[in-house]
Amino acid sequence: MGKKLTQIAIYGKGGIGKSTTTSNITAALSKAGYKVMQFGCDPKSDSTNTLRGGTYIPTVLDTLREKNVVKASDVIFEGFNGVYCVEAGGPAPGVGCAGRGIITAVQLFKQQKVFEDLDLDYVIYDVLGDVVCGGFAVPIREGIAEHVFTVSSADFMAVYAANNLFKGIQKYSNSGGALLGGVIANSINQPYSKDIIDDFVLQTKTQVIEYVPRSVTVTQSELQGKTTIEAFPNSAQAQVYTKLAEKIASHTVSKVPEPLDSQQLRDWAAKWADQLLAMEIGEMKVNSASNL
Amino acid sequence: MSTLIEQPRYSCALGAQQTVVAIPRAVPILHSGPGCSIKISDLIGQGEAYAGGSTIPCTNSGEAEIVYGGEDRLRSVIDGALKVIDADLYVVLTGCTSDIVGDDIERITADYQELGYPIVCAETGGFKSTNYVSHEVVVNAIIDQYVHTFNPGGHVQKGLVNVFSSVPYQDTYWNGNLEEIKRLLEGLGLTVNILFGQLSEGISEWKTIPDAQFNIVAGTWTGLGIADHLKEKYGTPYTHFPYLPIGGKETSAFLGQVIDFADFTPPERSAAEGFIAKEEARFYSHIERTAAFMLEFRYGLPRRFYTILDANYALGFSKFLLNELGILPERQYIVDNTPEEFREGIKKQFAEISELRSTEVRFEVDGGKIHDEIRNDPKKNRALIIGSGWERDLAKDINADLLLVSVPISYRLVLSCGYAGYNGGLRAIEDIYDHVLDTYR
Amino acid sequence: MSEINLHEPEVLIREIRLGSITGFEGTAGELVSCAQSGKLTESTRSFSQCMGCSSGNAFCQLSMITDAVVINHAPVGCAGDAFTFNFVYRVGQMERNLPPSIGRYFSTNLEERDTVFGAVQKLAETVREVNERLHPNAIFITTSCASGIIGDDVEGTANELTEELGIPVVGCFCEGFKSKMWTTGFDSAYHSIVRKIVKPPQKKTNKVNIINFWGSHIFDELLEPLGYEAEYIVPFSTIKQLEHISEAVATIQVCPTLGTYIGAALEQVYGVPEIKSPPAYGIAGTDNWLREIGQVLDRREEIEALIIKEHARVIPQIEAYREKLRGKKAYVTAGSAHGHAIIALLRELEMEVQGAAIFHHDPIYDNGDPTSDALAHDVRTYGDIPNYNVCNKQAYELVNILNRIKPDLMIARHGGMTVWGAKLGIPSLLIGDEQFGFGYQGILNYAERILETLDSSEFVTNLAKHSSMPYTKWWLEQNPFTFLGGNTHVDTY
Repeated sequence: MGKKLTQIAIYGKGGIGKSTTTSNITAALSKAGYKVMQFGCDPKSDSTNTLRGGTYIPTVLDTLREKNVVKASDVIFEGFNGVYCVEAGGPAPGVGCAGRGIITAVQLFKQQKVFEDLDLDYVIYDVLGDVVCGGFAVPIREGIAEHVFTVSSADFMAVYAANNLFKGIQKYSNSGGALLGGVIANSINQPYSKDIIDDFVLQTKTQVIEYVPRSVTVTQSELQGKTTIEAFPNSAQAQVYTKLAEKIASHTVSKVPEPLDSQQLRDWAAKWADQLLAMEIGEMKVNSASNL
Repeated sequence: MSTLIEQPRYSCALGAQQTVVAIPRAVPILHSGPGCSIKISDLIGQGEAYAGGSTIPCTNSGEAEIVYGGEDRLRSVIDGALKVIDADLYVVLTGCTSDIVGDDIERITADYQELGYPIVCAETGGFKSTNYVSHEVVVNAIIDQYVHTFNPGGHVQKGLVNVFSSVPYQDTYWNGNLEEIKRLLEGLGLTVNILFGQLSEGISEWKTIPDAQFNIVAGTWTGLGIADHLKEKYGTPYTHFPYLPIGGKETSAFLGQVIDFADFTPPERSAAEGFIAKEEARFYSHIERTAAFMLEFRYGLPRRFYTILDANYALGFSKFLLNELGILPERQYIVDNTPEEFREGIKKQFAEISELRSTEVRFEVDGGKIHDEIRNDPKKNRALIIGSGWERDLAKDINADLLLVSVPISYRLVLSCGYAGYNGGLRAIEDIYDHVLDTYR
Repeated sequence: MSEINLHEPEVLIREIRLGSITGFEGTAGELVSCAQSGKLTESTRSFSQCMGCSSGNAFCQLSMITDAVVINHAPVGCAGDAFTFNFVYRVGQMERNLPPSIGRYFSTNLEERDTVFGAVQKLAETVREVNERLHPNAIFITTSCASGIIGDDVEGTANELTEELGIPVVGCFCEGFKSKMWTTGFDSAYHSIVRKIVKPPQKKTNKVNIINFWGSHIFDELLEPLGYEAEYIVPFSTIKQLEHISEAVATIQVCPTLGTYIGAALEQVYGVPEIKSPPAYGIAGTDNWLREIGQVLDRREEIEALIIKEHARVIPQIEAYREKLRGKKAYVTAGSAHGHAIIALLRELEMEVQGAAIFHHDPIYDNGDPTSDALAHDVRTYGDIPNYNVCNKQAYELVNILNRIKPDLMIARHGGMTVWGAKLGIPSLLIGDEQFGFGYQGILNYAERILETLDSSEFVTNLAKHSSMPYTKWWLEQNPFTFLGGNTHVDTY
């Protein structure tokens, strides 16, 4: 045995494209020959849909509720190209405690030594980025994920959210938990978008792992219930995801994140607001106005 | 399907605080709400012990710890406990509050472990399980995080055994039971790590756990998780006697099973068998003395029995009452929320309770339901109920005698009384017929 | 005066409602003047030991309403105290010549999946099952840390079921983490009774509500000759009786820490006057209390006659006890109000109170009347008490203090504390019956028991030789208040 298992967590604010990005990374890694499991940690339970033709799979927690005892093999389903798919699940909106749900699901897998049995190369946790309680931070605790990546766009609200996420990651990074590998910059279409995100990672002393443009190819794939890697393997967008997956596969050095404090963040945003205004006046076409 | 409980007879996962209290000079540190510890002590505590009862440190988590996390508070209480309480082992246990909000106690405990403190942790949020299950979790945690750092195994001491039997405090008679079991196994010539109670040497004994030649589980299911873990970790084989041995027949069977497993030399075996023979002879000499009473007492004696007990006692007592006293089994209720995987095995035991008959067993945690069923049974001859303090009125209503074996007990003061082994069997007979005779004016 | 709001399902916790605290060290006089001059500041302890929680205290009051049932919406461990109260319930039945029955207490047995998915459905099913099984006249649902954190809508469920089943199904919100004072549990229980069970008065009766635990019926012989009837609440009452407590002519508190909320609620909402004098402990205390009774019940002359008669009977006997007890040193650990009562009794007997560890302090009660302050009464009547420590049990502080002070006698009024006196060889006394020390006779009762305890020191002397001490030598040498500090203002909650 002795194959090294790498566990990765990908966090991102709801709606930012985290599950899309994660599923494509999973698919790309799989096509590159690795054995991958994607573990969805979002109560909406839709992380792995595009790896399974658009279908929902029974979640760990629902299975636990019905059967009292869950064998990990009961809740692992195979998807595109043999990737393993797991959804933690969670309560309906307005009831219960989703954070506790994540703890329960992740602990179950940890206790049953599943990853060794399946001879995996990668486990990728796709986690809701609103880390509102302890439970949502469980995937980045010591002994689970080693590297964490954050998906963000260049919209200011997304950057704020990413900065907030760094605070949550920092707590665990400081005590043996996952370290920050970097930012996956999503929906980067305008040149200034790239500049904003580049500046942000400069201020917070991390890096952009890859820039992923917005693409109608992605939308088309999702409507088919597939990842771009599966639906349009030869497209430009698929190349981007493949490159991203390669970077993640060869990624070794992660760090403790250094989020900006509230004042620094406000100052940084104000500086960019001024700059964007200047650009607009200087007649650069601004199609998608950012949230000023 | 609702699994409501009426008349609680066990505690939640945090009830394993008592497992720690039972280890000489060990103290639990609770990261939980303020009322947990005393509620556990109310049901299964027996006085302050060394560092139990009101001595137990607790973070007394309040609104602030729920909303903002309780990790700082836990550190502060651990710091204080290490200075104020004189203990050899500190065990951090969590309650519902910490487990639901997701405090990272493993990291906190690791910080102290790295500084060399004798401290371990286990997640025992109340909702996770019963204390029967968490007893195993806590014992395994102590082995993995503490014992293993001193003794990674690899060196077997011949004749040394670890015993996993009565769950301390959940079994009110744990002291007496463990004393008797230790006495008997030593009588066979073994060196016994009894691990809990007065006769244990405390952590110095725990540190030798990996050196055992083999392990003994004398109980239905609690303890198997520990023995399996030790087998996996240190390769220690174990023998499993599937209930608490009570009385002559079962105790001899238990000890015989141990002898077979022990790989004795012929002289050792001979000495051990001689010990059993002596004990049996003594036991049956007393039984002989009571035979006249049993057969000739003019007035009523119990002729049938119900048990409302955990699996250990249900099987142990049923076998004893039927095979040694000739009291016939009615219905047996197992009230410990036995995990599914063990239920078939238990049913099979009851199906073959003696060579001549089988008896009905039900797994039920709703005490009210149990009472209603028993009340609705046709009233036949005098019955005996082996149960808990909840059964007082029931017993009166159906004119049955009641022996208190399960918590809550409350109507007896228990010090060293035990029901395991030869002595336990004799004690059981005395206690049962004490009650019976006391009903006669 | 706190404003009683019966529309909210949850009562405000004592820290906020009354400004109560759990940490203080100084003299009783200092505490009283802090309390009366404005905000009293709380001190927290950086090291603490286990205490008790609201859930247990709420249950203790609801568990003995003879025709109601309690469902604990919690994991099974929270019902660990069910049998302890059942035992008390049954002994009480014996004392009151009631037929034996067990308390019908249920747990919804919350498990892991319930904390993830929520458990209101399980709760509703449990309520229906319980109703089917027992047809009680009311069902109380007590909450827990687990049910509280996941945010189950117990109030909504209770209201729906009340309509469905036609009996009051009442939520009692007593999560352990809500309050630093377990006595908030009493308030929660009473709040659920007043808001959902008590009905507006139809008439005025000659009943006097006695808010007590389950102690002896000492008020009958006082009230009956005056033409009134004692109605002991809440344990051993029925739902019907509780519906009519608004019709009583007055409310007596055996212990204002227990009944502060319900006494004030009955007065504010239904006009039932509450006797506000501190409970009758010691001669002056009993005189004051009786005179207020005389005033409220319009029996002034009879009361004055009673006072004269009792003084004549009792004072010579008290003098005799004083001869034997004068100067003996005692240390007290007890709850608030009751602790103050014991201090009064000891001072009446001219014993020296070297100090006290009292579990919390209410600077004011819900009735808003400073005359109810029993500690202030003690200080005024008998002088200051040094070494007055407010601590929520915390045996480690107690052991440290006892080890230094070594009093002649330790009196406790909460389980688990007397053993520490005994282990140090100090004669220790705990009187269970709350009514034991009440009134003129109470002084004599206590004096007799104290003499007995001081006299029989064989047990404790022997025990001290063989007992174990779990505290480090280091700790016993420290200032007992080493871990007390970090002022938390009560307003921060």
